[in-house]
Amino acid sequence: MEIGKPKPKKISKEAFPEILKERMSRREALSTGAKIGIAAAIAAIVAGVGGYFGGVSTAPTRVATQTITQPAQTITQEAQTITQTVIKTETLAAQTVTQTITQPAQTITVTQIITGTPAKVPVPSEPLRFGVMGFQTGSFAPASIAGMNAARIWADWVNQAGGILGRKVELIFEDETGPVDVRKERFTKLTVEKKVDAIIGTTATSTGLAFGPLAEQLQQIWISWDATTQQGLEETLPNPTYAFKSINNEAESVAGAVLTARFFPDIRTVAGINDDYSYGRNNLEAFMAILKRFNPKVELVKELWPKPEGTDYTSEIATLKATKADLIHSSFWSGHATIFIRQANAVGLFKDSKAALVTAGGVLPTLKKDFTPEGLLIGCNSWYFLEPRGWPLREAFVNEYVKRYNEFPVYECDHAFFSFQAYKAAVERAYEIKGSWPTKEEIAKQLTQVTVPSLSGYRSFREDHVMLTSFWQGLSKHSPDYDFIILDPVISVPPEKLQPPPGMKFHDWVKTWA
Amino acid sequence: MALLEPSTITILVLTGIFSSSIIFLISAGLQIVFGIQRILNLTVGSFYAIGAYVGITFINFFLKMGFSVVYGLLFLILAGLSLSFLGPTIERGVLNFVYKKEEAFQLLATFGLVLIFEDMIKLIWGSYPQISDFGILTYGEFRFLDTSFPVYYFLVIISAFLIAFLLEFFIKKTRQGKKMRSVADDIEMSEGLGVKVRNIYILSFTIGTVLGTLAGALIIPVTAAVLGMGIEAIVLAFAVVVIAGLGSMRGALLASLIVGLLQAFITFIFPELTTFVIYLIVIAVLLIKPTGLMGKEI
Amino acid sequence: MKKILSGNLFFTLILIALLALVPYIAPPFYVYLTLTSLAYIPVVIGFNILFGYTGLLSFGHGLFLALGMYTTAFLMRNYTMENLEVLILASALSAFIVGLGVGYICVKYTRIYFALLTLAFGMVFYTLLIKFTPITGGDEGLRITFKPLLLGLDFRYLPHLDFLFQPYYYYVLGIVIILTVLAYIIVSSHFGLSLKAIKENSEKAEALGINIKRFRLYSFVISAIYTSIGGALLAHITSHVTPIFSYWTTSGEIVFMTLLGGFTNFFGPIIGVFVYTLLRDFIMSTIIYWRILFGAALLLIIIFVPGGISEGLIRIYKHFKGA
Repeated sequence: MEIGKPKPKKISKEAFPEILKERMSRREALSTGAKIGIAAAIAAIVAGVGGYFGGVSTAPTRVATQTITQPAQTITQEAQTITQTVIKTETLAAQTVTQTITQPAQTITVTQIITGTPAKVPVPSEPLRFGVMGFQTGSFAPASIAGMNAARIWADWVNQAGGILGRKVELIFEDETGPVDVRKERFTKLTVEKKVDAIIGTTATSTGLAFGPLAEQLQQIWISWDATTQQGLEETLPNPTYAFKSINNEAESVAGAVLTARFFPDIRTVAGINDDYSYGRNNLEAFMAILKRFNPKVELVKELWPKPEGTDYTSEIATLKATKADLIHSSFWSGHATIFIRQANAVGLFKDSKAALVTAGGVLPTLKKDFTPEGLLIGCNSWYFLEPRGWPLREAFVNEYVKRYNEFPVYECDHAFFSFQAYKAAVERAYEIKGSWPTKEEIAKQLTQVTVPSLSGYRSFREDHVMLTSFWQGLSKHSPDYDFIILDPVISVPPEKLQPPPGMKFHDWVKTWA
Repeated sequence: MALLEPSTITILVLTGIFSSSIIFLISAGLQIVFGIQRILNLTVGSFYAIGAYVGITFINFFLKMGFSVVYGLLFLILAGLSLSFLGPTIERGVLNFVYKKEEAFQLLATFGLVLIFEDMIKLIWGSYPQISDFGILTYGEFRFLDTSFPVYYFLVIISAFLIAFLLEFFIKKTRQGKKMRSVADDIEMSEGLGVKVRNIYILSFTIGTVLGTLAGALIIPVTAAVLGMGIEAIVLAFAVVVIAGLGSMRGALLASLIVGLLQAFITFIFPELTTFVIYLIVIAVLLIKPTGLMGKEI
Repeated sequence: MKKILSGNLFFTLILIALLALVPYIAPPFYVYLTLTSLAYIPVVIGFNILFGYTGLLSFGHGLFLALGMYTTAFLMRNYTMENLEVLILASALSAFIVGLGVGYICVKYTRIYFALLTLAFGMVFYTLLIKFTPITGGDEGLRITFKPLLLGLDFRYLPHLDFLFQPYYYYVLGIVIILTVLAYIIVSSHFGLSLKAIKENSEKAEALGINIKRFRLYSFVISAIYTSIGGALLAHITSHVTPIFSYWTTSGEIVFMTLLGGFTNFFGPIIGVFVYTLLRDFIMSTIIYWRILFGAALLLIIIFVPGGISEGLIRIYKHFKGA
């Protein structure tokens, strides 16, 4: 760590004088505003707005932050023990992972996990409101909609159990489709008009880049499912207060590269087909960088960048077929993966080439057996709904999801579930410490301190507000029980092997790989 | 690595022609409507998408009924044809009101229809990609050099050429076709000669519709039906008709071949240029010969 | 004529007074919507100079909107240019140069060919923005990380929304009023009348000695500059610019706003912007199938009131006056 760089925690402790200063300067601002002729009325309005946004009463907050630190440490220790068990499984053997995590899981039942918590002192009577944003249309919609469905299930379960500290939860859905200015407009609307307590969801990196700073400016908690605040492989928002981000974009391909080296050790040539946007480009770059650590002779022979709004890959597949690379890398996710696999299989592409489809599991139920061959490396991000560990929450959720929506859930459900669970736990924790309903800032602080059960097991946020999770990837296999492919063998790649530690650049991190 | 081995060329040419066939059907739908009604009918992209979705519903239904997959192609054609009712409905219901208006409005009216259809598809089929149970390898594979292609590709190519031939025959030889041509040349004169322009308009729009829905139905064994496919198709088809010359059917055939093949080869040789090339060609054609390769003078 | 003009003047003053009051009376989010609409006013006015007055339908006006936004973001990021006035002038200048080039090619054609050609240029620009990542940031676009100086005054200590809702709002309102008045002068001038003459009967106009192509080009360039300035104003509201603004859907939106308000009336597009923004907000938060409603609205306008809302209002006004 650089010298002189303050630790995040210190900032939060001393944040209050800062806020006071800011409020003072805001008043000064009003007088300047008056000078250019908009005069006294502005002062009233700005003071109103200022009072509204800064509506934090200072005294209790100060008490809260001081007390928060202590129990926080105990929780971090819990979190550490959990990560440690995962670190042990770094050997990447599926079975060890399965065994280490199965044990604590079985002792918990769903009703224990989704519980209401009684409030000790009166809490606001109106429901907690969450803005939920995702793509409602377009080829990115399937993943988003799965996440939104999971949000509905979570909300129903929590409400049935009595809500969060007795407050019911309410979801307000907004569409992520459209240009970034419209997305920001929706975010602003949810914050200032609908007055939601947090905004949860979001998929695209472009959304993340826009929402990260906006969340900080509007002091609104934003928990992202898939969107990061990376520009290329660089983090643009390293020390946020209110923004909580997804796993790095390239993590899928990092895991994919590790498993490619394991499953297909003999490949020499790679052809990449990825959407022509940052997510796609980051993935191919990361994939090749990691793969070269295992297999220095491997060579990238073709890079294809079809346009992100595309729905047809006939020409690209002809090129791949003619290229005859040993392995095809693709980070297609959502509907693109389905189309690509179907079109590629039609011309027999997978007979000549192996494939690492690092995110195709996002639409696993659409990868039907009749066009998806066995032996493709398929990535399911944080959650594979048939993962071999026993975990009652997963089984209960899958049953509920299939019952309600008549299809099988995908990984976005896990991110959605985790985001809400983490928020709930953070509120409860902050409430426990403070003794009254916590502010957004106090809740945000607790979000990094909690480890909560989600569909894929216990999950948490890193100190720099990046999600932690293991990734599930494996080879496609036809099973008589499902009309789509399942993964067998399936392997879990632990969090430390997915993304560089906070503050470290990706390529520096790659150099540390043995 | 040799740049263009014989097998590479085979793959690219075959794929190119296959794409061309589909693009041709869609752009022919654009051309016939433009030729007769002078409207650039963006809705043909939506018809393509609807054709695909309905094709999937159709074929999955028939396969569940116990029909053999061997008849798959027939069911798809049936699905495409069954959607012909959309033609008269939309022509009478919407276009009928905009014939007298400015071109810009006619274009925008069809754009409005595209928006409506896009959401209707979502309303009916949801946002998940839809897949037919009809596999592409039903009709076997064709081996050539050291590569193989599904026979279905050839069936689509043949169908498209057959349709092109039938269209040509219909327009040049039949009574209705002759009436259509006379309307295209001079509406008032044709009206004076007793041609019911209204019926000709309905006819040409319906043909345009069916070309779109057929293209959509034929493509589904190869791919999945997804939201937005109609809009993507219309962009390509629009490029084709500009290159062809608005209203020219033969031009559309030629331009589809050019666009299809070019796409296949450019993707292989200069992948980064793929998205550019089509627009650049469009601009170049508009600059050098704004009437297109085979269009009439403006 | 005089009566209509005074009517317009009255209408304008009321509108300005209302707009000036918005930050005081409207809930915060509607201030935000109004601000966005204000920034779009130069865009639609520019578009309508080309469409309503010259008769050329551009389906690629997103190009100039994106140009204004990217010029702003680029200069702020790479040269830390802070003065908003300078940024606006720079956006206007880049639009002048690009507009001159693109316009020179496009104005040779009219009607559907013009629409298709502008569409193709918009899409080429879109692809360029995506491909030239080092300059444009690719699909992620460029982020504007600091607030500009307004008339040399530094408001950076204000939080994001306070900045937008107070100083920036009035600044944009001021600029928009100036630009609107200027546009009104342009279209009422001899030049504007010549454009109308070209639109109505180009052969006759040529016979009268109007150099059609040159006038169309002037109109194109003015239109581009207006749109680009709108982009420059919008960039600080979104504080993030992405290639989507050059995509054909954005161009389509500009067309839709103009038609909604009415292209036959000078103030039509301005009404269109406000109604469109409010309508979109309402529809998007009401149902997810908003395209159906938009498509249907577009069809209804085209079929029944091609002059848009402004024509509808005039019709109602005349109806009551007649009765």
